[in-house]
Amino acid sequence: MSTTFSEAALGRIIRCAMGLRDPDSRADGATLLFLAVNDALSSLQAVRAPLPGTTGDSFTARLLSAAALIELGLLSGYLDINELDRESLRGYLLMVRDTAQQAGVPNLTQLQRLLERLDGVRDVPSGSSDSNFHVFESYLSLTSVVLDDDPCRRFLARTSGNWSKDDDLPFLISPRHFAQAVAEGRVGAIEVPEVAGGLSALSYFEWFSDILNRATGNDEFRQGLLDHAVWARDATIVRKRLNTWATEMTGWIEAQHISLDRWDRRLDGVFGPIVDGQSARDSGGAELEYAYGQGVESVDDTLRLEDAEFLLSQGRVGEAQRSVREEVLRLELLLASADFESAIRAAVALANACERLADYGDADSAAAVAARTLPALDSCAAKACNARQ
Amino acid sequence: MKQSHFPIDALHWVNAGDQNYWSWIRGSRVLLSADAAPTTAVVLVHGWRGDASTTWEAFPKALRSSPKAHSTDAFFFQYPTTQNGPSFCSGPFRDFLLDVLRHPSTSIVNPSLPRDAAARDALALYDKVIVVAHSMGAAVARRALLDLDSDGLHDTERAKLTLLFFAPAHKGSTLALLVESGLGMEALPGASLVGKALTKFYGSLHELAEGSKFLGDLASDAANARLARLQAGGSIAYLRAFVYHCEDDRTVERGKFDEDHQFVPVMEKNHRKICKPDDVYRTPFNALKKFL
Repeated sequence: MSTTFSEAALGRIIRCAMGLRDPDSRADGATLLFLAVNDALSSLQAVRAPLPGTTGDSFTARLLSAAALIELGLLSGYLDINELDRESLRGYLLMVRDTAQQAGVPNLTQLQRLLERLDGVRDVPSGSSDSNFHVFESYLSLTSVVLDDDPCRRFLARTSGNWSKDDDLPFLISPRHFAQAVAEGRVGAIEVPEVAGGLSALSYFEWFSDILNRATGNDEFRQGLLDHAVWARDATIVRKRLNTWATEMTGWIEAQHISLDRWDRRLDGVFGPIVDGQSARDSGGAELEYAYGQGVESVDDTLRLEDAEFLLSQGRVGEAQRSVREEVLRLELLLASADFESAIRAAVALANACERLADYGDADSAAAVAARTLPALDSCAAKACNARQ
Repeated sequence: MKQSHFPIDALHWVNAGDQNYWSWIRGSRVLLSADAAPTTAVVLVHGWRGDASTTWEAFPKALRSSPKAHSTDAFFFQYPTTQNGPSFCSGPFRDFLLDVLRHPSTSIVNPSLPRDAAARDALALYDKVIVVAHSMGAAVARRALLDLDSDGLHDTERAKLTLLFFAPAHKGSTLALLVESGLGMEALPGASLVGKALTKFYGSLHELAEGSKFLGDLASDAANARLARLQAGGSIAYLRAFVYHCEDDRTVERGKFDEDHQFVPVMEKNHRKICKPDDVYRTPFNALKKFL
């Protein structure tokens, strides 16, 4: 092959981390990294202009994710440092470091480790470690699948955010309610888009556990996988949420005789290796967690509400309501953001959107959302007052 | 270190653009051999609610690790399973399979190779095309093959084809259990109840119910195709699938389909896990290796 395996693998890694799936995005890895870094830098300085084909997630987080994947690729033997243009890669990674520093990411130890490997200060495994080579390839596939699964990501965001057991009760009333939530993402008019994502998440956690069980003989590599899988960081809460579902199901008349033993055993197998690994880890993945925690998704609700207004002017009331409901849902997720500023803006936008929804004739949904989010809105208001004082 | 295959990556199929299939096959993957002229194509088709990566997760490792597979390209075909039944899903797959048989380099392989990798000869063809399918994927693959056959496959193309099915749903399935397995709800206390309720929401599933018109047509078309081939003095090997069924699988009906080979029983695996090889459970890959 005229292109080396590692060059091709680098391209695959960058596309995976940056969420590039467009058929035209087949540039080599170094070029993709260069484009992504430039885009991230300009997005910090001016109006955001996303790289074509990327989703709206934090570029900084994705760049750091790419760097962490490169590190894992080297540790597993999937990437051979001797097949890569070390100088160019180093240059781009320094730009990633600048971007992350400008974005306020406080701790870049993971990225620093990778730079040290490229500088020759830190060891790089030579040749391919057969077992971890395949483990990494599988992990790369898992990462792509998780990033591509919107309902799953929504489920994880909601679970990591302000999820409470009561949120799930509407779809746990009966098998029919649960089925509708899985198939249609709603129960009656109440939107619950993340239920199917919860079931997908279970299979991804299962896959990740299997990967960790196979990643043996190299603690640094195994630790790196745990650090990189930010989506899995709240494994304990995800397990708790899924367990809530199972427990509520045993309350269904037809399922009362069913024991939870099998389910518990399954969850032990699915979550055990992840939770054990996470509890034993150091703070090595802090930079990725921080970058993802920033939730830099725009709170700007103008466009969607303008769309709704346009739909209403066309007499398409139902579609206008649906458009606002979608916006409400998005804002609810943002309200759970770790970033205080984003949460405040989301709270204000959410109040406006609920008012708009009531104006459009769906007062019931507006009231339901308001009731559901009142504690979070109160908390935001209190924090805002404190900040002002 | 030289690798037998390039990294597993997105499948780029030129005709997908012409037919507007892009969003439909999104998630499809390729594992392309580093050989200049691979002799074998393996086309893998997942089942209901499966996907190209999750269902076949262990196959890239198995293919890379086997010297017999080094001259093999693998195509992990992905398609949405919840909106349309196998009758419709077989349409895009039929087009894809035809390109694997007739225009693999220009239509699929060269666009999917890493940038700067040496392009394959535009006229190169595979000697063997092995279609590996799980559950609903078997019904999709079989329908596609029969349709291609009736449109006029050449004898040389028929001779290249092999069908290898794991827990195929071509004789019908218990829909509630199919849903339960497809959604990965095993051991969830309300799984069977939810599975049953969900069958009302997924109209696409009903083609896979035992006794459905779709499956009836599939069986009669398979029998007719076989008889026609026999009358013409041709081989029917390409119509006779090699089948693996697992112990305790109540999801699919395990009866024999037309003149398929006697199924091979697989112990201690469920409907979902039957096609997932690991370091201990080698059956799925050993089954494939026989044909490489």
